[in-house]
Amino acid sequence: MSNSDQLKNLKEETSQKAEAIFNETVDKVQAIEREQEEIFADYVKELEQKKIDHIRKTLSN
Amino acid sequence: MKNELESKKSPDVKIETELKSPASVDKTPEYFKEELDTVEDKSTQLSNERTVNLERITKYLDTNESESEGFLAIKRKLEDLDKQKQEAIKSGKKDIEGLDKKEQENLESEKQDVEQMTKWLDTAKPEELAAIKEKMDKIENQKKETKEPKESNEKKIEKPLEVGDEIFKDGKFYKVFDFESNSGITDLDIKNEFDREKSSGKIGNEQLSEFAAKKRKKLKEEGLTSSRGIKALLEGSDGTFSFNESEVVKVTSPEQKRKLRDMQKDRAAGELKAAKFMGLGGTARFVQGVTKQKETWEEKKFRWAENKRKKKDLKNKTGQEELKQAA
Repeated sequence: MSNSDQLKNLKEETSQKAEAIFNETVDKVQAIEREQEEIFADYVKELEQKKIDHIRKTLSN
Repeated sequence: MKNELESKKSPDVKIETELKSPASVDKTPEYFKEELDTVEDKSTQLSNERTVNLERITKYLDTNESESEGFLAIKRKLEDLDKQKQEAIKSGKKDIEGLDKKEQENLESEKQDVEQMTKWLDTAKPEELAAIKEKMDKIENQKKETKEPKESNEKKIEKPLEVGDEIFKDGKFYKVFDFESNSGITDLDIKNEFDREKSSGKIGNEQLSEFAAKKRKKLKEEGLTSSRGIKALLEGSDGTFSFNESEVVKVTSPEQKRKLRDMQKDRAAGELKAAKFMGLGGTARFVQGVTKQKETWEEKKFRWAENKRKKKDLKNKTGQEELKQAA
């Protein structure tokens, strides 16, 4: 294997490693994003329910 | 919002959608680091938008505006998760930077090596180059030797065998207990004879293997062997067999024995794999057929004769003891 081939392989290997780190990081970020969305959605649902209950209570009074 | 970052996951997709040729983008660690910067910006933007929305919705839906505990708790949770995201991105960037740095170091070192080599080649004397070539040829030859089938090396017996020596043949271990008559003519003698006859033009186009086969046959007809014959006892049984000294491997150490045993196991596994690969099935019966060496007719005869002799010996021994007791 010539020096240029070795360098090419080395570069490709580094590139693949960098891509793997990149994809792993994006996966982590996406997982946190999904958790945040769920927390946000649950909170909004809870508030909506509270609002409905409050309106019902006001109407029954 | 769910798939905000989806397009970021595979940079290839992004490149295609932007109608850039994949070859036009050099996927260096720097490239992925920049991509992570973009992910970070987008993520910060999303967090800010979410906080604003949270405040608005809380303000709109909260039945008791003075009670903001829920809002603050959710805000804290989301902020914690934002921090985790930032940490993940930071760590990713750091890892990529590490790779980049290592790559640069390797490139620099390779460059220096090439420069040094070029410089040396320009100034090297012919005898220095010849010495290097010789060294390289030697390494090549060593490589070739290691690639040659192991068996040919295994069969080398440095010292003549003695009674009691342990030997290995066709995946089995034996113990030498006797030697057969020896013609005194070795394989080397046959080869020398072949060379002599070849150079004198006596044998024409005949190959060494044909010549040797004929010679051995002739010797056998005379009741002799071309190399010393061995009578050996099979390990773990009372079966005895005859071999030529040149056909066997002498076991010189427990370590070598272990290696030979492992080699045999590997070979059996390889044969099983090959059999399965060839679609011949991997049943125990078939595997046995592949791996177990068949006993030759001569070996069988020898084993029967030995068993008969042993039984006779035992009978004689028992008879003598009975006579002794009676007396």
